[in-house]
Amino acid sequence: MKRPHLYVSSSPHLHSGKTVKCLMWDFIIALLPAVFAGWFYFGWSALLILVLCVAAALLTEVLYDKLVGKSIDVANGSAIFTGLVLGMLLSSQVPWWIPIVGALVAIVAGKELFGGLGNNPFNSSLVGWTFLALSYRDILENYPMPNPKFLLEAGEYLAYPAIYTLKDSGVDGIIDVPWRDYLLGNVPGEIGTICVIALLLGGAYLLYRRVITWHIPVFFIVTVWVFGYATSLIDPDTYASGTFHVLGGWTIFAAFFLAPEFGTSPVTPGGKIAYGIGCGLLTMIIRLWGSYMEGVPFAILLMNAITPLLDKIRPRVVGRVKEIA
Amino acid sequence: MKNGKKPKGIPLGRLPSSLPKPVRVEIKPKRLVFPLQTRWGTLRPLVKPGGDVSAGQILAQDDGGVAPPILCPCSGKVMGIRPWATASGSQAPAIAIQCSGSPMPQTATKDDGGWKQLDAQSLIKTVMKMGIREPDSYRWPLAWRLAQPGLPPAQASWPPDISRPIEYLIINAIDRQPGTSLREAALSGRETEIADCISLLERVSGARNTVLAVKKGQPISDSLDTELGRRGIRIIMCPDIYPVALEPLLVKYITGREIPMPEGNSRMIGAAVVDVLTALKVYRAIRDASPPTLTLVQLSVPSANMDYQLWIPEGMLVSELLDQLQLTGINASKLIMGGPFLGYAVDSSDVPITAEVDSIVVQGDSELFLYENNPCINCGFCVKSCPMGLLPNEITRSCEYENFEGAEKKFLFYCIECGICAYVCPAKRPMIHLIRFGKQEIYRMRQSEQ
Repeated sequence: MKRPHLYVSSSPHLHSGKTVKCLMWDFIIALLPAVFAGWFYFGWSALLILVLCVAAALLTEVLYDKLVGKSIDVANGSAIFTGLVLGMLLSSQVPWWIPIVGALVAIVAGKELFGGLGNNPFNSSLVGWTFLALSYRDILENYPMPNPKFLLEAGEYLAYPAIYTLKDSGVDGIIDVPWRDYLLGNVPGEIGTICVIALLLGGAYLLYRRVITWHIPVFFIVTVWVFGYATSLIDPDTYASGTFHVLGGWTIFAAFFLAPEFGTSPVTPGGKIAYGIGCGLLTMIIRLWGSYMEGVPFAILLMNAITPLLDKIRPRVVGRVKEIA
Repeated sequence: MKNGKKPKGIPLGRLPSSLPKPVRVEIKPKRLVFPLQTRWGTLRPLVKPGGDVSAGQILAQDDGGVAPPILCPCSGKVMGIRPWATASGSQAPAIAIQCSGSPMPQTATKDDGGWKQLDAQSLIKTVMKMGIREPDSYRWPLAWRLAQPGLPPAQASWPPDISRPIEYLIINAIDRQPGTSLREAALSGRETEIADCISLLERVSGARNTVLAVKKGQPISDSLDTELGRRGIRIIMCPDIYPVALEPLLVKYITGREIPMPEGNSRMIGAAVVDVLTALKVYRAIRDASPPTLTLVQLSVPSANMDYQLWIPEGMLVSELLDQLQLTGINASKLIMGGPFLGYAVDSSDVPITAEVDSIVVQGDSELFLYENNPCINCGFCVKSCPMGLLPNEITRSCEYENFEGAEKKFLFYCIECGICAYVCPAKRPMIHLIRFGKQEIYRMRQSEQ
């Protein structure tokens, strides 16, 4: 042959073409409808928060890699994704330094210290968010009213995010809110978690591109709904319906973008089902009887902690026969 | 028989609108090289360097009687017996022959019908002497997989156990991997021959159920349908998913039974799998009373848009083949012997093409794919697509950290090395490399313990 040398490698000699960069950018594309919804309701300040978060995340990762001596690989989009998700969990009225500090903690303590993408035990965006929520709780809880840019009138049923209203005023405070408001996102809340339709579009895109599997989102949402339905049957005056708990709050956002993150969720189908159910249960328990307003971030962090144990629920191995037929 | 569930994997791909037709090129090899190492032991050479050989002479045989012997396809002279690079990437002692004539061609029927009177035992003994090798890696060679109970055992230190009769004989007409179309093409144009061939194997093996496994969507001609139906041979359509043609998964899909791994001996559950090209080789060898000398190989050069199916004399070197086809000028970055998913990339083109190689792919720069030394990102794509139900991420991580015992506990030896985990891995980790590394190290540790 004309070439002086041939490359030698093990089989297979083809690749599907799906690299880490592909996957991360699929996640980012799936978030774009929700980013648009955030701008639509909260204006340019929402976009500013997102940009600050993403920029801070990128810068932190580059600086950390330089400091530690790792090769810089921000093109794979994982820092952008972490920053974007963290920004989506913040209100658009927080001061400029909140997203920067949050992104710093998310990238360093949530991802890089453990070895980078896929090796962190806890969801990196949630680590950053939890740091902010515990340290600057009052600053974070400053949610503006939605101000739609065109076509819609501002939602007038809620003055505070739905889950907060439920905790403060009980079921009466949220019983009149039409489902349409949650679906379109015409409610006060964080930048990214308000518009259910945009998030479902993104989630459908992720499932179509086979970036995530259906187990975690479906079991998470179904468990939340069943728990809410059961408690509302028992005591409809104190407990809101299952549909409220699914549509209001972070449930849909978390089901597609927070819970199934690589490295923090189980890899086996049985593990994923247990993880989804566990996340749903813990979310509802914290929401209904815990002191925190939104149960989702803490539920996911707790389930992340037992992911290695859930990975022991293994699929059936072909050929492991005890007796010969 | 009950059909199993569809195995996990990747689609085999649609049938191309026109399959490359087998081409009988007049290839006159100058040299032929026959490696002596097989899966079942090293063969002992019966010839000496400098000696003359004639067509049909046995060059090397297994003293234990298990591995098939090597027969010389043409007359010539033994140049030497020395280590040579093989198609599986290793160095093994090999017999190099200088040819002085063309290989014995596979002639059309000159059968006298005498073989129809022979009983199953004599037929199997004939097959054992024919030196037929197969591209798939089975636990035992062809003759031992098909033999009925009652044959005298082999003299090897660990002879094959043939006490269980064969209940299912599966003729595998599904191509091993995406990118090859040899077995699909074999079914068209020779319907009566295939039907006769399958009936012969059914008689030899004494199987209760005989099945021809084809890919779903492959057109089966009416004449083949009627011929097989007349002889009681079922055609089973298997899902269009990549590793379904590999033995454990094919047997599981067709019979519903699982081959106990890691031994991987399908006889233990009463099944035998033969691929259709090898079946035709056996049939022709018995009918014409002459061993096969040519093997059908698919040569693909994607960058030059070439896809040939060639009848190549066994033992021919790849460099000589490319010379004779005038392909030496092509841009080659990888030379893969055995197909894009299951083959080995070799480091020189002076490797012999034996019957174990059914597909040669020459990849240029644009198709080249190289692995990267990245850590696992725990995405779970490999778990999602492993057809054997393993956790490749954990196995390869254990092998990477040299925890081989831990990897074995996670079913390292159940892996059939289909390559799907590496195909889907976003981090481009060398999964199969790590798995093979783990298996080799464990063999080495076990051997040094003995």
